[in-house]
Amino acid sequence: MFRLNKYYLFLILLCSSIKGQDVYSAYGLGEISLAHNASVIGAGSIGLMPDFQRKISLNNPTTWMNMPFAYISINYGGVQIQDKLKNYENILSGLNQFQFILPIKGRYAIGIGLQPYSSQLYSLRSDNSEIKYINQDTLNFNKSINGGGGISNFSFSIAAKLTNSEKLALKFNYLFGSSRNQIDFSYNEGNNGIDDDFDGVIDESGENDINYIYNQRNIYDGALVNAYLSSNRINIGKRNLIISLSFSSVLHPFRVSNYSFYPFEDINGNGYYDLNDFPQPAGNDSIPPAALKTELKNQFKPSQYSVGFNYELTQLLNVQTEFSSWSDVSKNKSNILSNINYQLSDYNHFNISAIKFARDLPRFWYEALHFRSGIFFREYHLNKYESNENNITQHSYNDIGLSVGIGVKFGLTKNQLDFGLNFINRSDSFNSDKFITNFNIGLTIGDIWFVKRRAKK
Amino acid sequence: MKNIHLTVCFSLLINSFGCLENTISTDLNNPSMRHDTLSVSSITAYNYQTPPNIGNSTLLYLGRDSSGFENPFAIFKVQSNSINSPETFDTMMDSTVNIDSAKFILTLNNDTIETGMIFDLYYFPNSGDSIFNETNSNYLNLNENDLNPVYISSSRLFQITPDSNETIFPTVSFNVLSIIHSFIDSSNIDQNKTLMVKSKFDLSDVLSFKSSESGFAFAPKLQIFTHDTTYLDSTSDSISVDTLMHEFISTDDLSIIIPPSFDTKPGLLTLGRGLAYKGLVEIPNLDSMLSPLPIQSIITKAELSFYYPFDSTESNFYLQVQPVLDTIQYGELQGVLLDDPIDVIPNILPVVNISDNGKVSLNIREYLQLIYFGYVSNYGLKLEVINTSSPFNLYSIFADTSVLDSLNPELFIQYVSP
Repeated sequence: MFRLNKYYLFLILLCSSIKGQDVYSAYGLGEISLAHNASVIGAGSIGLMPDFQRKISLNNPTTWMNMPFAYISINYGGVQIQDKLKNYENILSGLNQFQFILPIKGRYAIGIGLQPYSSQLYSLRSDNSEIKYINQDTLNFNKSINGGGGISNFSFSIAAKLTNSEKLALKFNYLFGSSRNQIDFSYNEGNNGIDDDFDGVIDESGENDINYIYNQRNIYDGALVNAYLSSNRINIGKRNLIISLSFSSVLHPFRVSNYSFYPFEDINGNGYYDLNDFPQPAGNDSIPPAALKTELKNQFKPSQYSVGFNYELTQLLNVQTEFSSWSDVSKNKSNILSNINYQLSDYNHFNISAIKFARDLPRFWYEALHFRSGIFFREYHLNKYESNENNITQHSYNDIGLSVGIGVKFGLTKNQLDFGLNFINRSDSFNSDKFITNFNIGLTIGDIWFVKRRAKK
Repeated sequence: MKNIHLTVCFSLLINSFGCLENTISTDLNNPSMRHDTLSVSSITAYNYQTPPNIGNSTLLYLGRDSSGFENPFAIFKVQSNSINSPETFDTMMDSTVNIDSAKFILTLNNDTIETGMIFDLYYFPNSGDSIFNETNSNYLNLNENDLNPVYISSSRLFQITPDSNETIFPTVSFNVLSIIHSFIDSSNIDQNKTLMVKSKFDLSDVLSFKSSESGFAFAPKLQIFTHDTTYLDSTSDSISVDTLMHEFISTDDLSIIIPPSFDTKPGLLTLGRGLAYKGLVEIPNLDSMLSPLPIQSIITKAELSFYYPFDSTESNFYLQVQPVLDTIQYGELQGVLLDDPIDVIPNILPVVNISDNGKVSLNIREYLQLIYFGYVSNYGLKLEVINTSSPFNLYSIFADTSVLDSLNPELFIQYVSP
């Protein structure tokens, strides 16, 4: 029964993934997932410093040796993006993280996890149409692109105490996944005065369009390694200061297999390539050549370093700050990763947070609650590649966010239900400004593993 | 165990949430999927001539056209199975079958009767059964005198007086009773089921009759009338007599056209069914223009345009354009060619109805796309007119003229590439 439940659980996990729907999702590999669980979102941090429980962060393996139990953690998140200028909103949700963490005798810890590394889900249409005058015809061109997919991160972590104060951890991340990108290129030669689709409306929008659809598929794989080092050696007065450092780099070159499928004219307008379309996908002499496969290495070379400080104002009240810098150090000038020429080149994160942890042995119900809050700043830079030029132009956008969160401890094994909420104001130098609400709920269940139980008499 | 159940329930709950996915408008001026054009003007055209063949036409012609086309005779092959009864020629030879009368009927395509025209019917008792082929026989390989025709009978056009507004087409009905037994006798090793009709006197104009391609109702047919006697009961002499009619239609028929001599005009590509003038078009620079197109390009439009001297008689015809299969040997295309030496790839390009005024635009994008794929080589295009209102019309299009550059053929290509 237990085995069956485990398979059941894994099936559900594999069917879930976080998605983002905005123009940012169409850049490069999509939106990089910055915060995976509710406690990190509640603190507005990147999870380097303890925010789950006192001296414990689900994201930093050097803190896992402080866990009294093994934990299984599942986090689910949703994001709402409102465009301030164009008055649209999108809401998407999905699984953010699954983790199993096993502390061993307070000296070692191992963990496995599955979480999205990046995600794409976008449906964009051009807000300006190109006009050409050809042979006395006026041709109006338009374009829409859509895509979806992303990269998942299967991680294996191992941590050990170096000394009583210093801890070291390595996290190996196997990145894998795929994405599909589609460009729908259409043009029309003006209205023809005919109800072509027999719906009673003559020359409605798009009715006279001739659509050309171009599909691409990217398959990704690569490996990253994160190194963590934490120290609680320093005390300021009677209070402890925890310092953590983290560095991430490529372990195995990131590989992108790009499949470029032959474009086709979608004559019957159903969005699929079938016998009614051109070129006809049937007959020995008419089938278009197979998809072009291009294999690229080093299209994506992420590198990240982070540093964080946590100061215990009281035993339960902690203030912390984190700084992280992520950058893609690849030298590529290709837009193969995306239908849009933009690609995220780097971002910087900075946060200041305050967390009031729950008591180990709460006397009142409210003492079993963790309270988290923070303010964070992020600055993103995008590279824009011009196909006919060697130079790269750069754009930027900034986030200012406010975070709040709460965690509820329950049960003998310190199970926990966490909620995290971000309110983010995104200022964009070339898109309209956004207001983003990021919500996350996490359930963490503790259990004792590898303990020899007494046989029942 | 309890904890695992809690985790599973939580996962199920979070998976049941819905999402709102609105399409976003944004600036998509990126280089993917670009539209561009190509123009090709160095196009050459060439005429060649084969004997006319209109075996698949819905009409048969007799007489002489004002342009000089002669249609001396029409020839028919009758099938041996009746279309309205289970009888065959073999069963009609049974001694119990009494043939009362037999006639061969042709239907005029015009509902107005022409007077003073007498037609003769012939058959070929000594020639075997295979004396013509609807698709290959023509005035060069089918000579009336070589066939040893034997006269059967003559007849005039006759029209039943319509009793309402219905259309009654005049017919020519030949009496064939005198030869019917030898005609349908399959035991004869020289059995011949072919009939020939020709005008007794020279006709001043062309008459058109309906052919087997026009359908069962009006197809040329052999009608055989028999009667059946039945005794109503064995004890009395009362009998019943039924008159039966059996129809055997013509399945292959052909009128022979002898074209007049005709000189093509320089700078003009001449096409015609009766004259059997066909055109070859070559676009020599096509390969070098298509190969540099960006990879995975798709041809969105390819219009091969010709101009023709505007004349109402030249509009409304159908043009068949087919890619040539192999290198054209121009040296072999002199004079009237008994067999068309130009092999084509069929069913790639559609037949085009030309009803424009002064310009023919042919959509050849399938052809160009296949050349771009590398599936087809650029050996040129063969042009033929088909299904015209009259096979005796001639159509001319400007080709490689030095009169005016703007009248030269041109190819305009539009394409989209990722």
